[in-house]
Order: sequence, then C-alpha cells, then structure tokens
Amino acid sequence: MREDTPQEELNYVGKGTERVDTTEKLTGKAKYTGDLRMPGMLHAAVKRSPHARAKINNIDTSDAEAIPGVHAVVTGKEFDYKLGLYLVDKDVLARERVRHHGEAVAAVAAESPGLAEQAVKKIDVDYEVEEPVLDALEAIEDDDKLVHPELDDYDYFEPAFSPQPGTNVANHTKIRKGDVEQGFEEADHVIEREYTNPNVQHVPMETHVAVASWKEQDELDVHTSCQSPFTVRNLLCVAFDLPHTNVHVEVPYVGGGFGGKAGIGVEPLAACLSKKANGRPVKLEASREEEFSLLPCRSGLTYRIKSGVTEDGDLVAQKMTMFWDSGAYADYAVNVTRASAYSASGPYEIPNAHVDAYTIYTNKPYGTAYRGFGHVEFSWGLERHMDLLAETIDMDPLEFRKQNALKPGSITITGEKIVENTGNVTKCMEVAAEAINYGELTPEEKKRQEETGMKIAKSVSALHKAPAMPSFTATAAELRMNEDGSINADLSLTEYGQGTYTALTQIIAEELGFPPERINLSIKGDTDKAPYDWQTVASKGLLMSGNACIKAARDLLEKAYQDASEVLRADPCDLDHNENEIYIKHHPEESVTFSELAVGYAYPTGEGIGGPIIGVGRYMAQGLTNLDKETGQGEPALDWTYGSHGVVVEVNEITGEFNILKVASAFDVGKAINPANIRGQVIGGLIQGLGTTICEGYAYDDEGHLLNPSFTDNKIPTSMDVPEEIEGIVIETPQIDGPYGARGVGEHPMIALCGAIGNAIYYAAGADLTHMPIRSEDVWWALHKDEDRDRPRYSIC
Amino acid sequence: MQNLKEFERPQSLDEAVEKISAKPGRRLLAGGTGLSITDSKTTIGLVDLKSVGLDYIEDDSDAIKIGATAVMRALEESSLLQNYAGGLLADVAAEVGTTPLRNMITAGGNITQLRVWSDLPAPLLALDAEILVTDQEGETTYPAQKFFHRHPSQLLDDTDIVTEIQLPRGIENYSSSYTKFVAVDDSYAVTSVSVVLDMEGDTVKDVRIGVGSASPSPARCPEAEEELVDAELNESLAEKVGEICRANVNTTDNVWGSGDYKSKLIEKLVKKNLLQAKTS
Repeated sequence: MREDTPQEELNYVGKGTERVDTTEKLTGKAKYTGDLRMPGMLHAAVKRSPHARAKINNIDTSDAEAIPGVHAVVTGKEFDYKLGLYLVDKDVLARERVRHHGEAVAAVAAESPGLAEQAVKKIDVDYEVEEPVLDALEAIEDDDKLVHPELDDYDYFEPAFSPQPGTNVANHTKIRKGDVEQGFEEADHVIEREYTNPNVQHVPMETHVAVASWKEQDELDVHTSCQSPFTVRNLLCVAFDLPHTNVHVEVPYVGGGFGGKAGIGVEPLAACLSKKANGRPVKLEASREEEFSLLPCRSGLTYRIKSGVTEDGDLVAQKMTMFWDSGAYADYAVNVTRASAYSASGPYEIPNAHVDAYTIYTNKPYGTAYRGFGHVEFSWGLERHMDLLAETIDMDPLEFRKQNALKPGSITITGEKIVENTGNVTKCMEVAAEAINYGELTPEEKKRQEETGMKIAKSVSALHKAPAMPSFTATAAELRMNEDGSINADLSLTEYGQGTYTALTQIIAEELGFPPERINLSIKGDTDKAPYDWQTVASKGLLMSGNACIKAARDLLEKAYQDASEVLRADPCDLDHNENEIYIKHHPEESVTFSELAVGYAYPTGEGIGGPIIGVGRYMAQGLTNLDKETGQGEPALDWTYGSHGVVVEVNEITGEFNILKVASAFDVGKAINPANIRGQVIGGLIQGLGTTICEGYAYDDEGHLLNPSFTDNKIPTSMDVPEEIEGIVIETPQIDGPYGARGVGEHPMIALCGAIGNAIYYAAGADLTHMPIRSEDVWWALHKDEDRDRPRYSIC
Repeated sequence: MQNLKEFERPQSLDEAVEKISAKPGRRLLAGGTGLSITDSKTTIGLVDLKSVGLDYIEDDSDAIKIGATAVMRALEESSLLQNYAGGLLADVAAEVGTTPLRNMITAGGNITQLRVWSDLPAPLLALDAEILVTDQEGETTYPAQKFFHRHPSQLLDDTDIVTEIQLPRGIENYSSSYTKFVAVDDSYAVTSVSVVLDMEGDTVKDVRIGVGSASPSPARCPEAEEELVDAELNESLAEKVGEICRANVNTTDNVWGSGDYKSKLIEKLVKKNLLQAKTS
C-alpha cells in the first residue's frame, strides 16, 4: 500500500522520529503490571516439581491452608481442562504426573509474597519418580516412555498440524518439492551433517506477571504482561467456559517479550487463585528463576542436512530433517516446527527439496515462540552447511550463496514464486560483504593480527523469514478525532519495546497529513475498548497494523470530507485538506476546520450535522493458504524479509578465545518507516543473537534437573560484551502490500548471526563447529577433536 | 530461611562475638549475597556485622589492613590497594560481578564462603596475605595458604568471625598481573590466574602464582615458583612454568568449563601473566 510514494513526498514516514514512549520510560512514569497495587490484592507463589518426570501420588496442602493469611491453595485436581492455542496439551497445574523439572504442581494466594512462599514450603507432595526421557532423538523412537499418552484425545488446529498419537511426536510437518533422490543422483557431491542447538531462555527484563480478579457473576479482569491480549482473552474464555463479554484483559507497559509472552502464561493460574479467594485480586509474578524452568524457553533443535551439489556450484537437492525438542508441552512449538519447515532451506533455491520436521515431547522445560521462531536455530546449521558445501567444491562461500540465492522467478520449497518486489537477498549479501571488506584483511587488521597473535577471518551469511501465523490472521485500527482536531488511536498490537507504535504513529500522521504530535496511539492494551488483533508476534505488526492504520485514516478522512462537503456545499472530490482544515480546492478561502467537524458540526443557527469523526481500518493477511499436509505446497508467507550478516572475528588458536570485531548487517525492509528504530532493532537483535552464539543455553544432569537454573550460571551478554563495531544497513525493495512498501524486521537481526560467526571461526582457526553456543572451550575442543577425549557431560546440550 | 526469627545488629566486635555465640542457629550477615541464595531451615537468627566497624582499608606500619566488611567497590577504589603490588587486589575486585554486586559483596564474605565465584582467594595466596579470625577465646591469625588449604568452613566454627585481611609489607613495589577468564563479562571465572613478581633486571627475585576457580580450593604453584626464582624470565621459561602449573593444579568440571580446558587455560594464562608482570 502506497509503496511507490517517493521519499520527497513524505513528511513523516522515513524520518527517525523520537519514540512515542521515551518520556514515560525514561522518567519512570510508565506503569507495568508489576507496579499495580489493588485493594485487597493477594500474592501468589507456586510449588514446583523437583523432578523431571514423576507420578503425583498425593498432595497434602493442609499445613499450608492452616497458615493465617493464606486465602487460597489450589492443586491440579481442581482443573479438568487443558490450555493451548494450536495443540491443547497443557494443564494449569500438573495433575497426575509432572513432565518437567520446575513444573507447577500447586499454588497459593496469601496476603504477602513472603507468606505465600512460606505456605508453598508447607505443601507436601508425594512423588513416584520415574526415569525421564530427555533426548529428542531417543524420545522419537521410544513409544513406551510417552510424555503424553493421551495425545490422541487432545484438540488441535487440524488444518496446520499433525500429531502422532502413540508416539512422542506432537507434530510432523512435511515439505516435498521435486524428486530429492533423483537430485542426489545428479549431484557431484552429497554431503550430510548434523547441527545442534540447546534450549535458551528469553530473559525479558520484566518477568511474567499477571493480576487477576474473578469478580461476582463470573466477571474476570486480568492485567498482564503479555504480547497478545486477545489470545489471552480467548484462551481464558475457552478454558473457563466464559462468554467473551465476561473476560477483560488489560495490558499496561510491557518490559520485553521476545516470544516468551506470545501465548498464555501465568494468567489462568492467577485467575483460578482469585476465584478460590472469593474474588480478591491475585498477583502472580514469576521470579527470575521461575522464568528459566516454570515458564517456557526456546526449543532445542537437532538439524540433519543432506545436500547434493554440482561441481559448478548448483545446489540440486537437499534433504532436511528437523528434530525439535519441545520439552514437556508443544502448544506453540508445533508452529515453530511448521514455520521452520517451510523456511528450512534458507534464502536459497533448491529444485529438489525434502523436509521432515518433528516436534518431539521430552521431559524438559517446554518450548515456545522465541524471536526468530526457529530460524535462529536452523540457520545455525544451514549457514555452516553452506560453507561446508562451498569448501567441498572449492568455491568462495559468498559466491556459492549468491549463485543459489532466491531471486525473481525462483520457486521456494513450498512452490511460491519469488518476484521482484519480494526483496533482494543478493543485494543484502553484497552490501554486508562490502562493509566488512570481505575477502581480504585491511592493513589495520593485518597489524592487529601481528600485535595480538590472534587470527582474523571474515564471513557472510544470509537469512530470510516470513511471519508464521494462521493464513487468515487479521487486525484492525480505530481512529477517533478529538474536539481540537487531534486523534486518539487504538489497536491491539502490544508495544513491548519494538518501537512499532512510533512507526504506526508516523504512518497515521503521514496518511492524515497531521503532525505526529497530534496522534495519541494508546499504548495500553484493553480488550474491552480496542479493536481485535490476533497476536503481537512474527514481525507482522508493522505491515498488518500499518495497513489497518492507513485504512482507518482514509476512513476517518472520508467521514470528515463527507461532513465538510455539506458544510461547504461542495462535492468531496473538490475538497482538499491541510493540517487544520478542509477547503475547496478552487476557493481555498472557503474552509472548515477539523476542530469544527470533530464531534459534529454546528451551524451558526445552532443546527448540527455529522457527528464524532471515527475511522476504522481492518486488514486481513493477503493470499495465504494452508499447506498441503503431504507435500507442504502452498502459500505460507505474508512477506519475506531478507538479510545478511558480514562478520569479522579474531580467534586465539591456542585457547579458543575469540572476539567479534565487527558485524555489518543488511536487511531488505522494503521501506524504512523509522530508520532510528530499525537501528535499535538491529543492535538489540544482534546482541541477543550474540548471546545465543557465545554463551546461552540450558544444561541438564541425567535426571533432567536444570544445572544452570538462574542468572548465576545462565548468563546473557551485557553491554560489556558487544562487538567493537556494529553497522546496520537498510535495503529498500518495496513490498507491494506493505504500508509505504515496508516489511517487518523485528526478529531478523538475530537470525544467521551464529552461522556467520561459526564460519569465521572456522576460517580463522580451523575449528569445525556443529553445536551452538560457541564458547571458547567449544572452539578449543573442536581444535582437539583428534585427541580422542570425551567431553564432560556438563556442557550445554 | 523460613525459620528466621531474630535479627541482631551489634555495635562492636565484642558484642558481635557475644551475639553469635549466644545461641545455636545464628549466622553472620555481612554483604548478604551468599545468604540470599541459602535456604537454611536451621538458621533462626542473623547477626549483622554492618555496624561493628570492620569496613576499613588502612595503612599500618606492619601491614595493609582490610576490614572484613569492606566491600569490593571500596577495594577497587582504594588508592592504597591500587598502589600495592601493582594494584593486584584493586584490579581483582574491579572485575567481581557487577557494580551493584560490588557494593554488597564483602572481602570477608568472599573468602569465607569460598564459592566458585570467589575471586579474592587466589590473589591473597599470591600476596601471602594473613587472615584474622576472632572468637570468644580471642584472635587467631592464619596464613592464606592454611586458610584456603581446604574450604574455610572446615577450618572455622560457626561462631568464628573473620575480621581482617592483612597484606604484608615488603612487596609493595612488586609488579603483578591478573586474568579472569570469562565467557561473558559479568560471569564468574572459568579460571583466574594471579602473578606477583619481583625482578632484578631479567632475573626473578621473588614470584608467587595463584590460580582460582579451576579447582575447589584456590591453588599456589610452589613447584613453578621454585623454577622461576633466580632464573631469567623469558618466553620459553614462562611457557615451561605454565606447563608445571598445569601439571600441579587438579582442575574440576563445572557448567562453565571442563577440567581439561581449565588445565589448558592455566598453562596459557600463567605464561601470559608472567610475561605481563615482567613488563608492567
């Protein structure tokens, strides 16, 4: 939409406008769910399982209930329903069995957090501990040790997913294009290898928190730190069998989500506790430790890739098998599996492709959406693999990528035809390569090598990602004009740090021709007041809500023009407007102000016409279809955002230490609505990607206990760890159905970074890495593979 | 600490000794970072050392004296320590945790708890520090080697109070070098190496090497030190000494590193820090 508008005709779009939430956040005025204090509010605490897999024989809550000030104690027995968005597999509290270390088995609401904690300690749970199934590759084979023996009874979203009852497979997605076996025969070389990734925690600054009040007549009010208020409302209504008019979800400022708050989290338990406490509000706020094992993480992945390549550098066939370790529950993980399956080849054209992607239950903390939605994980293996293939045929890896890159006319593995306006991944690679002086060391880099004794190397990776969402995903925006001609706007995309609200404000301002200061886009989410949005995920917010805002602005102007045409006795086609008034084009002195029209126009005689000026815009994802369950063919992608990372890395060949000297990343965003915000997203995403690359991941013992369950042992990078230089580069190939040609770029900066760094380390020191994260020690072990020693089990796996 | 019922804040060391000895089930509170991750059912009372006047860092004729409740931030910013043996202890303190943690973690707590993230013990070994402990019977002085020989909890009773660290006179002008090898900046050490060195020309007059976080207790490397004394310190000797240290420190696995890797790090970090101390 409006993708052809030249920049010189734009007043607000394309500018680095200051974020709309700057002052509130910097002054501390912004209120988050955790800041809420309500009259009579109780505090919740959760009893968690110390075992990865056990039967619950009995839970004795009598001592906890006897403590004065404890108002509610609940156990799983009280809830005979499950929750889920795509696959309804999760209990509010574990019922007959626990399926992962840290799972909630009981909960308490009491008058203070300390009292609630004390009561939780008095709950006595009698477990019958069982041997857990921890390895996804074993779990897929093991039909005796089922994590969900009742899988056959679960509801699921049938058009998109295929659970396999009687196994630990929660979903199997298949993609088939061409004839992969024939392709291997045509290939000069066939290379197969396996790449692995651990579970990773999202670590939003604000942990999961909700305050629920179950009032009289089953009216349920929930304030929550979530990404998707309407999903929370809908799932609460389904679980509790309540009409949608009874459930009211409000979302104040949110301190980060990264996918971990995409679905439903602590809200149902807070609601149940409030109900049992006779409607007193209950706050359930996860501790940082609870974020690591009570709440979901990123699924682990083992990715097996078998590729056929010709001497000339053509990728002719690729068989891709993904084993997604979703942990104990797979509600959101099934969709990660599906999305990664249809993107599994990366931004490359594969004539003969074969993907099997499995979501596998194990007895580990469960997986959910995480920035990148599977693409960070599979791109690790894929981008390492691309370099391995290039090396096999003695070709420069960048040239090999460019030769096989998707370009206009290419057909993706699901049969989608790439066109000019899809975007330009080749250009992304070229500019990223140029920005790091790919292919040579600068004199400064050579000097640095001599001074430090470390080896410097460079590499370039490529990436793509489309929003992963139902084919019929929709959103809406509503604009209401105030008496002074300013605009109050509402939509239900959640602003949890991305900056989208600033970009949307710019889009509304551009479309109306009003300055952005006159637009007040309410940051607070409220399902009673704001129009529907499916979820705030998938890097789809800017495109979809942007289009809804454009349509709402047009609708609002149409109403204003209608009323103005009566006042000015002119056809709307003869009218135009500036910031303040609508006027007749041929007689600009004949005009009526927006302020006069805003809530209904009054003639001097007192008679009124029109009424409050309101604009509504709806937007439905365009052209998406279900994928065929046997072949995976169909249209899964609203838009593809392409990107590329160029990295410069130095490695100490003796200790395996490495430093990332520079990252230059280019993304084809279609149109940069707010270049400053994009830079913010790029830097933030790169640093998060850096965490995934250098240090993050869960480690377990043989019984499935998390060995690094807190910040003490499970670290993320800080500002002290960032690369010496970060360069973000924007490419603008307009998206025809994007607002002003824009696409999302929220997730993309962290995709394929790890592969680029892994490849550069390989070129610098020869360390051939197949497991993420890469810590200095991993480089060291990779350099000593030939020494025939077993790596101790404490490593992140 | 669900059974905690009493909180005492004595105003003098004598009162602290009296309070901690008065009843079983009492524990000392210094910075609180160690206690915050402890879930002890047997702790019924805390004796807070905040007001007993042990937060000093002072110059004395026989030693530099660091009170047990002096926090890492104070050590880091102390000009006395910055100018003592190449500023080793100030440098070490500056790399402990993050600034908010450094404002909490006390010198006494760091050495008494002796956890994997305790950074002071290894450099204190290298500095030949002494640790003063007080109980109802009076004061006892332990050389660092004895204090850290096994976990201090095996040496100390529950009623003992670590009161002071003393840094000896005579090594003020030694040079030093320190590396804390970490995965990310605010993480604790996979392995740390401290070197304290006195040279005359290219010849080593005195040297101490301390290794931290690689094994349950911090280690000195006397075999390596003997090899160095009166020898000419050059790259090949530094390398050889690194290998000696590697062979003499028993490393263990933890989440942040395998014993094998830590051994390799010891070898390389000892070499690096010897050469750095020589030129600093």
